[in-house]
Amino acid sequence: MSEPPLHHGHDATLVGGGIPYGRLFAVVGVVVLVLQIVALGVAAIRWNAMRRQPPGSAPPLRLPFAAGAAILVLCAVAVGSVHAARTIAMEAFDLHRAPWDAAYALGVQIAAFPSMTALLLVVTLIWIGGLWLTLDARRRVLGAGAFPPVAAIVALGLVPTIVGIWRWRASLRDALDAIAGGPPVAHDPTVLRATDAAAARLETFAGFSSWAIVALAVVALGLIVRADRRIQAPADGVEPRRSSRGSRAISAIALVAAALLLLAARPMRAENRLPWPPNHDDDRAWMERTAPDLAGPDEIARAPVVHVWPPASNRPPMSEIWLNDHAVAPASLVDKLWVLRDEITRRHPDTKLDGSVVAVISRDASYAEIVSVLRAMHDAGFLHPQFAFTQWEICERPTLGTLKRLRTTGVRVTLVDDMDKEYAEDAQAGVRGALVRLSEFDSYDALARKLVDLRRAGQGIVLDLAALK
Amino acid sequence: MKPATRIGDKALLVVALAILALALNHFLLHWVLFTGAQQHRWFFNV
Repeated sequence: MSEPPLHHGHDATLVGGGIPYGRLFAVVGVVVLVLQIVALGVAAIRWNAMRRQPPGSAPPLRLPFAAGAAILVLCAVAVGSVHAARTIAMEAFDLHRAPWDAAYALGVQIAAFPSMTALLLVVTLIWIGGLWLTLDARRRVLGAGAFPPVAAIVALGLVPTIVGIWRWRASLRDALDAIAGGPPVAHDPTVLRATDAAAARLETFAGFSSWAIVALAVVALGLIVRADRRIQAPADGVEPRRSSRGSRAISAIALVAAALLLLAARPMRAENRLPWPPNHDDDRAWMERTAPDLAGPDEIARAPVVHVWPPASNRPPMSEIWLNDHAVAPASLVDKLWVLRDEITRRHPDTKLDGSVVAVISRDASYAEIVSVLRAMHDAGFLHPQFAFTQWEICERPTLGTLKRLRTTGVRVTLVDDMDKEYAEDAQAGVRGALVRLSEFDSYDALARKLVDLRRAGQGIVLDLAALK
Repeated sequence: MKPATRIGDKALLVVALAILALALNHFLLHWVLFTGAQQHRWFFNV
């Protein structure tokens, strides 16, 4: 298979060769459609001729059978085409391909389903029409045993599902169009919400189809009973017996095919039924996996990021410190933060500075330097650091397998010092929550675990800088 | 052939084709919805 072009999937068209083997499906689809129309035309001509003239020999079933086999070939091409797109997506998930190939493969699937299923339904209905006329013509020659299979009308019950697939595609296309002008942070939730809503609607349509199939089967049974009362059993018993054997054989094949379809759907059903964990808009690139292996209860809000890296040497400054991805000398951190604060205030004059800052601190960082970093944050007016943590989240999926993702979470605290307490004339500087003194710890890991425990208990945290040793 | 047998065969054909249609409906539903599962899988690492 040649490498598929990279572009936005939902713009891809089936005929344009967007989906793998799309051109093959289009060509085979046109051929099969023409074949069905020819078969229907031939059957109609023979049926008409049979009505006008006394019956001679019964029209053969070769053409309807060949047309039916052609539909199976078209089904195989459609399934193979979607399977090829799914394989591309899975390879992209496993990073055996570029990640954006997954977007391509998903987009072309969304675009292809309505065209494929609608074309298959149309050719099947035309085929049933041709088969019906052929069998009716044979009945006129051979007798009641070859009565046309009214049972075939149950195929019409699939129409609601086909309509549902068109609507499903339209919903997803609208969602993909809607995110084009929206903020990046809203992209993923919007698409996933639309995916779930479209799935629920499609299930409703499929439910209509199930009821329609049952109702049409009841109608078909009624028609058979009514028709049977009108038809005299032929004197010659040979042909009806053969027809009866054929009918039973078709029934058996249909039941086997149904069992195979149910088996094929099982792994997909298991995957579709199991809910997914909530999506997270984590920007994990800056976490670098050196933060403590903890799950904090707070989502990390976007804010300036201060990194405190693990010790790089035995001489001060032991830990390298970064502010928004730029290395800064520990002594100048407070000045840099002041500049940043002024910049934020100037850019957003109508917004009150909320004092948030993300503290990505390595579990091995020097505690003394952590304390000095927190002091710098406080003195620059960033009173609400969010301590960031990373933890692997494992998700077992029935078909997609074991998935892992690095989750970044945090704990939000409020920094206070002696001057704050004095000004507020309060031991916690007027801030409510559990008081934690930095001096009670000697490692960041111990401090982080205490903070997580308190936040998990639902408490706000006041981190006291004052009692430094 | 007895009329009851004749009707029975036709009824069996109706039931069998109805089961096939229901199975096809079930397959189509989950075949399409699996794309949604892949969509979730794609966003899982984000």
